[in-house]
Amino acid sequence: MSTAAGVVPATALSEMAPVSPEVPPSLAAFTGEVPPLLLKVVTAAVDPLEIAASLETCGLSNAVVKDRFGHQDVFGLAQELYGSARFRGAPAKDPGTKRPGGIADLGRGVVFATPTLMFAGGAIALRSWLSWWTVPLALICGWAFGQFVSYSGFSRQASGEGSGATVVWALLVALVSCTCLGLAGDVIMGGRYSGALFAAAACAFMTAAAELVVHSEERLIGVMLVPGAIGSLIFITHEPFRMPTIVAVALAGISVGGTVVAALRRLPRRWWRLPVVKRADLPTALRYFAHGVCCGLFVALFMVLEPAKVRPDSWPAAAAYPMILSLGVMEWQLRSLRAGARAVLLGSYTVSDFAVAARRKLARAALCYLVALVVLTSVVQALAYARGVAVPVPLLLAGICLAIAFFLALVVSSFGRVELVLLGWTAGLAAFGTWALLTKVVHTGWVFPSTNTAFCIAALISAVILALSARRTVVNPFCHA
Amino acid sequence: MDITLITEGTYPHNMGGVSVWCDQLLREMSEHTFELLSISATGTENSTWELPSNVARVGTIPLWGPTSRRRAGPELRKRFAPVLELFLSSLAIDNHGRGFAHSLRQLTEFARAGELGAALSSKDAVELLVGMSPACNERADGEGVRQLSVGDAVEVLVQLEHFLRPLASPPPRTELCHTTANGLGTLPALSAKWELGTPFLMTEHGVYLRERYLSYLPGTLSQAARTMVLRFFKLLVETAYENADIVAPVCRYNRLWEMANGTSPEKIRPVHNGIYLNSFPAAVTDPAVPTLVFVGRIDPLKDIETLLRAFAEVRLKVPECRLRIFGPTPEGGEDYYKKCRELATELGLDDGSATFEGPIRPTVKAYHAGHVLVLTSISEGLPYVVLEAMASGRPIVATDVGGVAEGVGSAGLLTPPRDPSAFAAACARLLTDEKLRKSLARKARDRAVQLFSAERCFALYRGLYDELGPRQGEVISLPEEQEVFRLRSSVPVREGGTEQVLAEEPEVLA
Repeated sequence: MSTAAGVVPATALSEMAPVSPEVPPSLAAFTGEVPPLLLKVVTAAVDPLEIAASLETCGLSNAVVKDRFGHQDVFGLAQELYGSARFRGAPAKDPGTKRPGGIADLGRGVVFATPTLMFAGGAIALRSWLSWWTVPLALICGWAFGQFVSYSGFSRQASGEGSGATVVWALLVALVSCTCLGLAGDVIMGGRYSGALFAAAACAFMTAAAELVVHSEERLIGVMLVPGAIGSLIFITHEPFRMPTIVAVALAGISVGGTVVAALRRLPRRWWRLPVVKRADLPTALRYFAHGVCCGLFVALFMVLEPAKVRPDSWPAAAAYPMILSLGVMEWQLRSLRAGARAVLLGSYTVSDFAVAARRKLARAALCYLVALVVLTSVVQALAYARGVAVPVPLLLAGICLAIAFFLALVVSSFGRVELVLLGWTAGLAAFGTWALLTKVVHTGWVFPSTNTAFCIAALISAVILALSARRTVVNPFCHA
Repeated sequence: MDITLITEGTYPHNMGGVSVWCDQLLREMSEHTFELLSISATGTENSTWELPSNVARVGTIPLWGPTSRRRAGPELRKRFAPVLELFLSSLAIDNHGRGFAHSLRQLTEFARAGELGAALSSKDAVELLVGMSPACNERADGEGVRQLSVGDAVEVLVQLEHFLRPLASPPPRTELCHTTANGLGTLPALSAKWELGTPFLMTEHGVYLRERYLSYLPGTLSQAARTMVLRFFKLLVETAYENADIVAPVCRYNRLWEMANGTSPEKIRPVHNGIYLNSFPAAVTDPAVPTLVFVGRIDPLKDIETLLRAFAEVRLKVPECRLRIFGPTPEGGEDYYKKCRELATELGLDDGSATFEGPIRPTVKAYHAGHVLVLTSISEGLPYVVLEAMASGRPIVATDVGGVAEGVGSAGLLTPPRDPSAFAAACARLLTDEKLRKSLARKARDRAVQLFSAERCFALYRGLYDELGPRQGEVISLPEEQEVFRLRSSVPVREGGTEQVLAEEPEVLA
């Protein structure tokens, strides 16, 4: 046989044979060339038929086998090779992915944190030209539609399907619903019409960014966010540039528009023919939508609960910054946990050994994240103190609890158990809702904790339930499949 | 007669040779009513074929749809343990598959109750599998394979959960089950056979088990997990061969694999694929420039690289020669297409001598555009392109794989696969020897008319349906032309087996 790509010359084989006793004599007798694949199949074959299956694809058809080896067909040669080859099992191929955890994941966290910087700008604007409900509306809608889009996208990817039209329809529905709710908010609760525009834009950004995350295009999101981040910084600091607000808004608009265009660029001309969401995926996609609503609600509460009590020149929602700044660590620890647990899974020979090791990995990851969170909280508070801002301790604790809850929710949802995440969020929100109902509506006369303390307790409840869920999930070997 | 036609990954959701065959069958058998049961990937695939009016119903069994979120409680785990133990012990190397069919029946009950997914996804199942894995991974020579780790066991159980999903569908309530392949598509047919006594006809285009071996090459899973998955497929395939009333391979080559897996020779009735001859009239003129034509997917199994290397050698002898490659690049095959283009450039064929021209409709235009049809595949059943080109009056140069030799007969030249020099020599010979080319072209047309018409193919199927149908008529005897090829097998043939001498041996170039 002539030389072909990926084929070992016979001379190489004959040189190898004496030092590699696993090469059977029959193979060494080849007069032509032996594909390396065939050698691998022969030494790792589960039965002679597996060798027979590979012989023809390697150029050894029945006729060739008969002419060169005197066997009647491939089955005869396969049987001889199976009997004479020294077995050497082939390990599963390394998928080739780098072990996650490190600078790259911290970088991903920065990308995820940047839009929150824009929300910080939005939070400042709350006091001047946005109504109080604007940021919560944007957060809740954007987070929910973003989760819906990302779940649908990952599900399509997992089943090897092509692109879908989820992002287009999600964007359309998100824009329409945000605008309608915004306008209704303006009419019912008062405000300027810019609120609806802000909410719709923010929601569109989050939905489009989710599509880019599905395609692992965090870098592109990062690039798109640069103008918006600059605009937000200008808006937050107001110094030394004194740039007009309209310029900051335009820069944020470029970020939003660019991200939407980037997310839609893959769609074919007749995108409306693509499936929106698979029927079988709809229940789970809706659970992810609800998860997004809960996330948005918690963060929105965090941002709008206390701004009035903080000095006007201070940073609003300063207690949220440690959580925002630790997103990179969160991503890093999540990936390290998943990779570590997977390694443990492949190296364990009893389920109980695996469970013990997996729990340790979870505890280590949670502890690492907590340490980073505490350090960042201390730094932020020191900076805030230097500016004369005193963030209430219960709110600080609430921030830590909420950040831990987010980390655990990320862990549990990454294993596909979004229903457990919903349970955690619902319990926390229900506790806070009950408190609000009793104090603001029923007026029982009992002594209730303050708003911040109640919020802290609600976040703690969510965190505890999510911790139990994570512990339960991480020891289930099927969650790592 | 009401017939359930069971497909896996082909009709009506995908294009390809098997789908063409299915469509032909349904249209030709207009006197029968069909239920179509398609085993698909996700269940969301759209139909790419317009179904004929005799298809009464279409059912889909998605293998890779979402997994049930149901969890196995203690009661289910307790009930399931002995069934799983029986199933897994049947996979043991020295057990020779004993208990496999029985455990499949028991698994069916769990599947129908919607409990199989949950039961297979339990920690108990993992522990049981890990504990039993040494018996399933010992080589006959005593050298053991590493035991399954927890991760391997999970991988195996997850795959089995998907593969066994067809068990959940109720058995087809028709008078005959006809599967287009062995494998997972036989699970509903086996259910119908066991529960209702429904006859079971199996057509085999490619060799299912052979393809599974090629899908699970060393390295795709850990050695222990791979061993278990492949044993499952082997036992399933053997069970289906054993229970099928008739196995109808599209070529005699498949018969070797069928007998190697325990099929009785007397139940094997090869039925060659057929084509509509009117759609492939014989070419009346030749292209001005010596031209080789390839028609098929741009796919590694077609070994386009060998074709390009061979063509580069042909040009040394026939400098003005052209190679026209017609066919789509399948999704996921873009890298291979790029590799082929790069190789063409590297070989100096980017001067317009070798062209990738994409799909062409109707394909007869492609056959008429060349002097010779070339096919360098490393694996084939009985390829339609060979039959169509022959009907179009074109001689063939092809690799001697699968059922190609049966198709080509003496109407072309065959070479060993992956041998560019031999392939180039055959091409050059046909391009330069007009007399030989014309002679082979005539033989090709005659052979196609004689042996490979759709009418003939489906007349044979009509006979098989009659044989298996409710009338239980007399056993049909296949015409002698179906038996023209010599059985080249070391697999022992039962006494009374049909071994006949090849009437026209294809010329095989060493």
